[in-house]
Amino acid sequence: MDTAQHHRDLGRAWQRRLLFAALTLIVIGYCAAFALFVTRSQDFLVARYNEQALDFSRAHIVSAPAKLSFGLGELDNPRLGGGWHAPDPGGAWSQTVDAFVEIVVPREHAPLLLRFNATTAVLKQRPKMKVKAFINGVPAIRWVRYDPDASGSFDVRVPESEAKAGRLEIRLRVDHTASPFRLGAGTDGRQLGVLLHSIELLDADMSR
Amino acid sequence: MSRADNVRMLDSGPGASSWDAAGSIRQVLLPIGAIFLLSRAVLLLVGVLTAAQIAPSPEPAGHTLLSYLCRFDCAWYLSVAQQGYSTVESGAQPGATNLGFYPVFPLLVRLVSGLFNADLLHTAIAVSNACLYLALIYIYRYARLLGAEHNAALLGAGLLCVLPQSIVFSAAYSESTFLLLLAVAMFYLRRENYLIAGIAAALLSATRANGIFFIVFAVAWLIRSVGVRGLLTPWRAPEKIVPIVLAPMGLLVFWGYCFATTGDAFAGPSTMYHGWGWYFSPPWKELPAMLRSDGVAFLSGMSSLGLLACSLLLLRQRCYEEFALCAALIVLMMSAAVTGSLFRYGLVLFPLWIALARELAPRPVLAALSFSILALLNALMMSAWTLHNIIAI
Repeated sequence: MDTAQHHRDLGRAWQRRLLFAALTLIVIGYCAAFALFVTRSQDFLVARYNEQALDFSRAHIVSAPAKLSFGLGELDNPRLGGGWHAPDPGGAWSQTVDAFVEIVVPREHAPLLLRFNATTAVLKQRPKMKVKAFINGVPAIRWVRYDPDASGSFDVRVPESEAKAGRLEIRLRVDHTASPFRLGAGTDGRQLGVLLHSIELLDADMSR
Repeated sequence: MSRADNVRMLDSGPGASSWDAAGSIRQVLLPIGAIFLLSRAVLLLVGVLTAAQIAPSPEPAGHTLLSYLCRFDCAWYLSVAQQGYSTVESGAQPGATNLGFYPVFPLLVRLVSGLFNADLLHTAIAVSNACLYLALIYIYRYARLLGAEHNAALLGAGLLCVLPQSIVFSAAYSESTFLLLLAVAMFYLRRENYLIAGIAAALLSATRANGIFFIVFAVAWLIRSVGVRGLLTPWRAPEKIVPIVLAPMGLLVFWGYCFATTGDAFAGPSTMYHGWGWYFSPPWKELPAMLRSDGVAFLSGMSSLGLLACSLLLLRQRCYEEFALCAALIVLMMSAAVTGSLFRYGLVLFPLWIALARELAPRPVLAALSFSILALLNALMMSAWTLHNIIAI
């Protein structure tokens, strides 16, 4: 047997194993990095808009009873955080699955009821939309609308602990967004979720 | 030495050992250089004539000939080259930041800007054009590698210069860098030089995110060369999967940079969504929507269908790996909810143009006719580009 050839083959085999091990490590590194990115990333623009909305709301504290209106030219638009299109006449459409509103009420506020007046982007082609509202990350209500009854209102009773904290980060989550244009139902090419017209702040005890 | 021998110098074959410098310059580098220069000169002339005859307002003071090469996204690339990445939004376009633009091209511009007295626009244009010229040479070589005749390979390179909107290859855009890296990665993979192919592929995915689709080509090539069994037993010949493993590296490094600086690894897609309205929408929804609409969206839909039809030539020529790559990228184009820019996304699919050139080369009249029609459309697109018309975005 050719010993030199045998040594060369052995060397090549080791090189192959080493290369394969290195490539495997790189792939593992990719997977770990990707998992980190997916689990820890937050849309930086949404985070910024939320921060701006919170700053505005801190400077413009509201107490019940009050009505916050949204739409073209409305004074409460700066309370809209991330996930909204530029306001339209009569309301602001959510752009993404999650859209945020920041409201700051005085600390030790009485129990609050929030009444949302909204329209969902239900179309014949997608006739059902589920909306969930979260207050400071806590699920508060689930609202379902069907075509053609796209508009309506729903009430959310703010947990006492959250109302006392003063800051209410409201997240409206829709199960999908729809583009009327892409569904062949209009000319609007935007992705639409829920059109928020207004939020009424009511005293929960009074409204019972 | 015969003409065939002369052109072998830039040829494919791993066995091509002799380098006839004079022959290669005469037969390949000069013709490609001539097509390159002539096409750029004609496009600039069209730009000048358009600005002089059609433009509603005169170009601003301090305007030079090269400013025709800075339109639309040019300012974004220059801002990355000048100040680096920033989360500051454009005043006129809320949500738009320069994080939507991948780093290899602006980095290259920054690296060589010293040669141009730190004039970033001139550097960017020089980099783009140098990349285009090199890319054309590699595309010629690639065509030869696929078995194309000398004339067909030259025609393939020539077509790239006259395709509608080919002005972006000379503008301060990343298309020519992408084209060069794609050609280099594919060429060296076919030549079984895995490390160079892998490095080029890694840079490719950091030039534009869709560079990651090189993996489709590499996997298809691997299956053809070692079979599915070979693909499933990579430890037997790990060197063959080096390009596949290295390809995502550029993209992941950029994501890592975004994560470290903004807390959002996907800052690119985030800003593209908020600032430009770009998001993924399945092609079976997006394509019918494009074809239902009018204007640019309709033209984009039709052009992506045209590209898909053109890619069938690759199947006819048994270039299955190239077909897989082009089909995947065309489907991706059909999935973009923003329809502008689709023309230029199609330009970089050079295997299509090689396939078309191989069909046209034996038919001189048809070749001349096709060349002329494409050149005419290119001139129209150059006018639109000069006038900042949305079709040329």
